[in-house]
Amino acid sequence: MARSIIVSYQGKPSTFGFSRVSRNQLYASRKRVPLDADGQPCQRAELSDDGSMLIVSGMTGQGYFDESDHWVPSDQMVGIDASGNKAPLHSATLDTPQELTEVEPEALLDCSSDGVYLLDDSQIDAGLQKELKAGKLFRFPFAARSGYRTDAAFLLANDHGTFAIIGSELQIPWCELEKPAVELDEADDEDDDDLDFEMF
Amino acid sequence: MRHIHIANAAGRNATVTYIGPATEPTPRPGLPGHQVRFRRYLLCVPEGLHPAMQAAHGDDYAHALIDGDPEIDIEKVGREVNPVARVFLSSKGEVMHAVPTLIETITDPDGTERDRREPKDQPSNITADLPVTWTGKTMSKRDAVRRFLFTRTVALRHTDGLSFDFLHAMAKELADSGEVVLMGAGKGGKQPLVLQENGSPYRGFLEGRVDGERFALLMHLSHMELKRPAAKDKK
Repeated sequence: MARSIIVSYQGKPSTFGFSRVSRNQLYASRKRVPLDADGQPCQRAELSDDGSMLIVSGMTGQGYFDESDHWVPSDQMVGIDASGNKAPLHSATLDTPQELTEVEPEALLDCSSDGVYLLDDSQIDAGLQKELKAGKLFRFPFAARSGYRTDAAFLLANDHGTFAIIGSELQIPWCELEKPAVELDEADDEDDDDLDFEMF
Repeated sequence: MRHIHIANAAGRNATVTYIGPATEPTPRPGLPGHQVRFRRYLLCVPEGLHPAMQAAHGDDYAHALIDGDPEIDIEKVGREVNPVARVFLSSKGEVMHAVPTLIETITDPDGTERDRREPKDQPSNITADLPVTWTGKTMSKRDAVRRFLFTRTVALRHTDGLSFDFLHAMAKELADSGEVVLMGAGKGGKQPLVLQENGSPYRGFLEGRVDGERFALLMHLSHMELKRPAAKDKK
């Protein structure tokens, strides 16, 4: 059964079906394809470090191993915070009402978006719909599955629909005079208001 | 250090630096009391892949797997796979000893291939002779976040007292207006921003924040609008 994003605003729940929106669904996409001498697409592979074997897709796995080189099953792994302590386990937020908090645009600008979902707003509370149409922005916690992190999600609407943007919070750096940056590792001519997002 | 050649609203330009702010740290996977390491390991050898197994044992080789573990080479399976050289295989599965020909395909959102062409390298345009400029197109922060998906943010940084004044003034002007301004590269600021060679082109919106003598001048980068895909249009 499809899961839903459920939010609660002023005690009234709204339930949304959701589907991910990617750039490739909106604009043409560009891809570089390597061709062999016959003009057919090549397959990528890797050469093992001792040069004895070609490694193609499907030949490798990945996982965590302890000091004794024993594989650690994923169900034994936990989240470890910056202090080295076990982090709390969070349940998935889907199908469970999440409280909405109104935020200012800076809250969204302080995040780097990891994805965006188009929401089916057929079961939205009328009060919330009115606020979204007025341009208000709301934040709620989001975790597609249980785990040790919860992302920030932002609920908003525009003329094209209702969206949930999932983001990771950024550590915004302030610049001070005494602390300059230091070395770190490291168209057409028409003045058109429509921005071209095809861009190539 | 990454640089950007940028002009202010008055057209005064300077080359300053920028960084990508880090995200807030999140818990890392671990095992209390142990040091764990993430590894890539060999799962099977070429003889254990489906086509080889099919050729050796027939279409229904499930019993062969149960009876004799023919897919497992105990000398090799489980070995750690370290970063290795990338090679290309021809469509016949042979190692290519010559550099493959690269083509660029353009695919429409509906999956139709629109064009095939020779790829052209796209140089970065944020350190070019012409600075990244204010286009004059401004909008409120609220309108911007409701219209565009910002997938990346860079923070502009000063390198000395002069560039501090330059960037602080820009940040203050934007903070006072409460708006973001669209930045563009090339003549007249018409081009999207390309931060590194062959990198994704972005539309950049400059936002300023000021706290006394401190400032934050952030370029929010977007490569898509918040729109409903054609396939998901309401009937």
